[in-house]
Amino acid sequence: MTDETEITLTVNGTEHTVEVEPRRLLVHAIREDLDLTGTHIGCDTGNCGACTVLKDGEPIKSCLMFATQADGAEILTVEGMEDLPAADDDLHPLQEGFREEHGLQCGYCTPGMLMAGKALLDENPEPEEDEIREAISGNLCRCTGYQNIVRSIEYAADELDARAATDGGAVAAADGERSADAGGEADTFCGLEDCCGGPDASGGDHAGDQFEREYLGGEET
Amino acid sequence: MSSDRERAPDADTEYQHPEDDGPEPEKHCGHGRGGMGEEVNRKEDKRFITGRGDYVDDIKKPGMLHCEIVRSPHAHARVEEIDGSRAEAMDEVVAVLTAEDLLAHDLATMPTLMDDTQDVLVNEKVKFQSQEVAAVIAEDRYAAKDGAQKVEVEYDVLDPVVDAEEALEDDAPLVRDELDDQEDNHIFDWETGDKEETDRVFEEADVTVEEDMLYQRLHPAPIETCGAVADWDPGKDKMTVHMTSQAPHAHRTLFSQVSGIPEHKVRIVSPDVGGGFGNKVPIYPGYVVAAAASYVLEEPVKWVEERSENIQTTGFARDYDMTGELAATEDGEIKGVKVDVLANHGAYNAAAQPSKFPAGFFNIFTGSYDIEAAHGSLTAAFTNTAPGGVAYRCSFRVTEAVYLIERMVKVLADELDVDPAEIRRKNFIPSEAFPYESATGWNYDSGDYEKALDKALEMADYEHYREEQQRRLEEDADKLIGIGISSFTEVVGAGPGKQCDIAGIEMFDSADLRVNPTGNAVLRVGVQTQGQGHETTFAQIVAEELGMDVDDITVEHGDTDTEPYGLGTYGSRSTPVAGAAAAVAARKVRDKAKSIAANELEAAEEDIEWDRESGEFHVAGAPDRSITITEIAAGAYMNHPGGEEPGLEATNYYDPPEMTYPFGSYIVVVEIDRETGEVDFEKFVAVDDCGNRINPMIIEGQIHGGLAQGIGTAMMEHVTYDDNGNVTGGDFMNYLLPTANEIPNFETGHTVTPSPHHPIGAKGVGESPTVGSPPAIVNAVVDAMSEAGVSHVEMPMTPDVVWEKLDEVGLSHQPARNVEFSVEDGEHADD
Amino acid sequence: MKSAPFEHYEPTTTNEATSLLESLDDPTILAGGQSLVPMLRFRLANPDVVVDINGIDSLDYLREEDGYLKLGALARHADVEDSDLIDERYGSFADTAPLVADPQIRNRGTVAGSVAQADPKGDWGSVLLAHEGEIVAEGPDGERVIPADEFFLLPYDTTLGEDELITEVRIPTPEPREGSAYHKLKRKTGDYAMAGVGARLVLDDDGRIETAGIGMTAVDITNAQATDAEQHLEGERPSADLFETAGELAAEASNPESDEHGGADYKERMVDVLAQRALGDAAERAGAVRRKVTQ
Repeated sequence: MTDETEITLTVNGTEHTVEVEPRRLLVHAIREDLDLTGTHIGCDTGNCGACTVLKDGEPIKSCLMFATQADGAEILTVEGMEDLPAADDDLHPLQEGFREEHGLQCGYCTPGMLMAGKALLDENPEPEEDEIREAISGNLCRCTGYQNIVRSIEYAADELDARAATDGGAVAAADGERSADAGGEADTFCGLEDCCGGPDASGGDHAGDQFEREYLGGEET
Repeated sequence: MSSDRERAPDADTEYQHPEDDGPEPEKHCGHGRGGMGEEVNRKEDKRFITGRGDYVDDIKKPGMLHCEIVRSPHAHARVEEIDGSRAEAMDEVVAVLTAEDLLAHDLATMPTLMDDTQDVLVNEKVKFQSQEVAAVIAEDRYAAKDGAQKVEVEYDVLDPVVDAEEALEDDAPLVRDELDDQEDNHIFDWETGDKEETDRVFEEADVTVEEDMLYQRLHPAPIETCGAVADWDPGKDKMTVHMTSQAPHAHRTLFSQVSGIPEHKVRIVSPDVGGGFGNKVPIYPGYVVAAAASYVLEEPVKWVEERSENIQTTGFARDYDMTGELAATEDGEIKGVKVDVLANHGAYNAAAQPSKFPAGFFNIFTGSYDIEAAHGSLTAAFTNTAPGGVAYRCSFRVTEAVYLIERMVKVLADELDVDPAEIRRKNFIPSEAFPYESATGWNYDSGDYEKALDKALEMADYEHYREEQQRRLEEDADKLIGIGISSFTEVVGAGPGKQCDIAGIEMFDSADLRVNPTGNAVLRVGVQTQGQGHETTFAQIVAEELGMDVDDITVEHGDTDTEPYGLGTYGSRSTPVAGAAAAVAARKVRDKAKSIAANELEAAEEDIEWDRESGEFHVAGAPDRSITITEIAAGAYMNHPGGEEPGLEATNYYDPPEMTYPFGSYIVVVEIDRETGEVDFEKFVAVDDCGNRINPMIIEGQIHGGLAQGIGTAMMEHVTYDDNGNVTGGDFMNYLLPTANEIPNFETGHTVTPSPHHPIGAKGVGESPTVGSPPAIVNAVVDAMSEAGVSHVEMPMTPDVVWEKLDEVGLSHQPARNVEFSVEDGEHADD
Repeated sequence: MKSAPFEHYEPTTTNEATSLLESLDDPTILAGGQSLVPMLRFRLANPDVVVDINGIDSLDYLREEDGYLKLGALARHADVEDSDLIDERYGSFADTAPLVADPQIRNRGTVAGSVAQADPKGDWGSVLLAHEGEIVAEGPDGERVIPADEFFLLPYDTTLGEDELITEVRIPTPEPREGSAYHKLKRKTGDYAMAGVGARLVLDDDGRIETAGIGMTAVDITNAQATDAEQHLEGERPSADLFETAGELAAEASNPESDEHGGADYKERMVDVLAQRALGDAAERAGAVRRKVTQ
């Protein structure tokens, strides 16, 4: 045992303070210290991707990072998806897609796949099939043979696209996707007008508050 | 031929599946209530897509401790001494367990499913690398690992033997010297069929062909590894174990026998299971150690293995070294088949199969063909490798059997220069011949092999690819085309109690249906889904049979305290056995519903009819006098018919009269890079027949998944060992699972040939794709080179393996052919 | 899965980092961590101290400057993959980045970290060799520039000093008529190479090869350079025959071993095949025209 340090993780818009040893993996902090067990562990060599979360918008394998390395970061896990604006008080189009297109069987790789899918659509709202397959190539599935996972992500892309067309991009933009029509700010973190530039740019503690305000519409977690 | 065998009681094939060539029923239509044949979205999805799944490692209990296993780095070694004192000295370490501690509780060894005895913790001698030697129980998993590192074990290292052939040589190290009558590494011999008759057929045959082929050692590797949370309650003297189990009741009975805790005081719960594929059928030492620790320490104890532990120590699959032979007439009629197998069972005989079948169902190696004479022989050997052999969606060795026969048919076709589709057609068991008894004693219930093959050929655009293949050979193109076919027959649904038992328990299964006053129902089953969609498909069976909406039926499974006794889910048995039980239970409820309907409608019970289309009960001849199941349910509790019990429920324990025989034809077209040996899938067609289909969407998903596993099997998966017994293919860096980049899009089709003996005419399907696809893939790669004389390529067919074959027969290419360069500024070209 | 305990330092400047390296006993540097973390979890490495350089913002860059393409120590594989500059001007880098591991790992893993790791199966070392690349290191004695062909000693062993930190890897910016490429054979996404070859060609005004660079992956005890093949190419005009011979020479220069990634003979032949493919692409990107010859 070495001395524990205090770190701050903003997970799904909520700021948490956790005490961890330097060697504690981010995935263990998420699953055990924060009781968010939707993120899974499937291997010990960083190959399976079941532990994938978004850290500052990027998909990473949380078993290949120490929790201390994520100090100050914004993390999105599967549990946060239903609270995103695009979920519209129900399910996120990606989650809907996985159900409609039968993109899961045992469900164990599914959270990681959802995260990889989210990261892809944030950056590339109209991916080709080979781009989808590449985006999930760091996630192993033993049940589905991937075909319906691809269809699930395509479903979500179509759904988000349809919504963006009807609501002028507000919902899609607020979800963190780079909407092409979001007021000329090509490099904003979230596409909103008064974008703070994201946690990396603004730094400091208030980044988490910003996320909460913009994404969840209020103080409640 | 046993056409007069008993039909199952309640066998009822009134359900007619829609025309198999018709359009797929849309979601939630047909009857509209989510019955048979409808593509109902899965009811279980919501918790998984929102991160609310409840897997073993998600479980957190107050006071819970963590168990880390200390494992042997050596494949074969005597344990001289174990010193856990440094670990025990750690604050966070609560206990260090060795075999000695377990002996005190009579838990040092446990029986395997094939009546062998396996060490829970090594008592005297380590028999395979990473075998369990000691266990550390600590307050958290990091401390447990720290503790495990501090346990000092003194080994006297011995020479290991990992190869089955070497293990049977005279001077091989003795793996099981602790067994009294074991003087070598030979476990058993097994034989099937008629040797004399088969030999005669071979002697008289026009043509015989022979081929050696290895079905390499594999591992099911579900994405969730194995684990358990054991919780001994000293207040109730009850042991509750949440564990990754494909068969909770069987595990409860075995657990009770091993531990001595009476069965009614043991509760096994399978929570959500992240994939099984046979990996979660055996009982592993980790489970036993966790339970023992919990019992002694009176706290919950969690054991969850790492991936490398999973691949290195839990039940492996296959490892059958086979020699196949076919005897045929000169125009391709197969007269006889022979096979000889050397089976590597690892250090214990722990193959997970019905006890009367030491080689599983391997003797279905006559396949889809009407072959008169067959003989098979098998020798099984111990080696210093982890125990297992039956796993990874194999249908109890049908994977090996189908690989053998489908490869041999290709070998024969090439030898005779006959088209592989035509030779199959020539030899298929004709559809009129069912039920059909094979030369090795299997009673195939129904089949129409030619129909499936024709459909597959059409979907695969077979003629076009044959032409393309020819063209490329003539033009010496850089990429070759190969076309592989597999027309397999499966045997699933274990099984009739007289033949099939697990550790003595007959392989029936069960369903318990209880309808509530408000008209919805709970169905409890004895099988255990690990992703197969039972919460939806079983509800669909009840929706079909009872006229209830599928959303009104909850399916429960996995808790031995409440579910009726069942034998679990593996071997594609859930639909054939528990699905039958669900249908029968629903019909029993329907029968009682009729009497309640009579009561409510003031008619005679014999005048009540049930209309499948509307789902309602009405008076014969007066369709307006009708009543729904919802109203009947209310009546059962609020106005029950005199002379009967209130309530509305039924239970069925179903002893299947026969196995079921799904089948199909798969056609794979590959493109091979002659420069590197890389193989791409150009087309992948799978036509499956599993009888009447409950949920086409779920079936398609199962097929996709199994085909991907077939690709992994054929192209890259292999648990390998070096000469020192080290597992070199023991984690996901080296045991390769295909990613989305390696898997193509599959085109699936189906035919429907119902099972005549099954209550809803259904067969199993989950393992068909892993059974049928590897030979199709290997056949395709061989086919690309068969004109040049290649008759076999061993799995896994990594690029180097393929390229070496290409090069051997002069088919490999260099990149610089037919290319020229020129540079601007008017410089001249080369050559 | 669970590392041994260690202490964790997070310097925010290079000076801080090098001071730490100097003052601590046996420290290990953590950058991307995609190779290091698994090693720690398996306890194949058990450092007492980890110096985490991810907080040194000044090392996070990818730019052209002073005649070099410079990648700071925190430039991730994904940064290379996403860079328009790379796409436009650095074919070998554009080829290599998407072939490294998988998307998540590319978001964290660094080019410099991969080079420091010096796994003979690592791709970037070969690319640096092909481009006459350099490794810039900083230590207690200041900055040091190490040519790539003086960097790799043995598997996982380099000439980097114990107290030194790689701050940058760099290659010269391309000449007017330069092209480069990287080809890799692997069994699946995420697997290390069975063999890999990076090639760089610079053509002069006459259309002759002025400079040739060939780096090879997974076929020797370190990333290796095929100097005989390079010399054979220099002074000649690109041609299929020329590349065929160069491929043979590269294969001869390789020293593969048989292992789970394939037999030694196969790997050697693949060096030949991949070298020809890489040279062909490099020539095309340098301005040569490649045509299929019909019979």
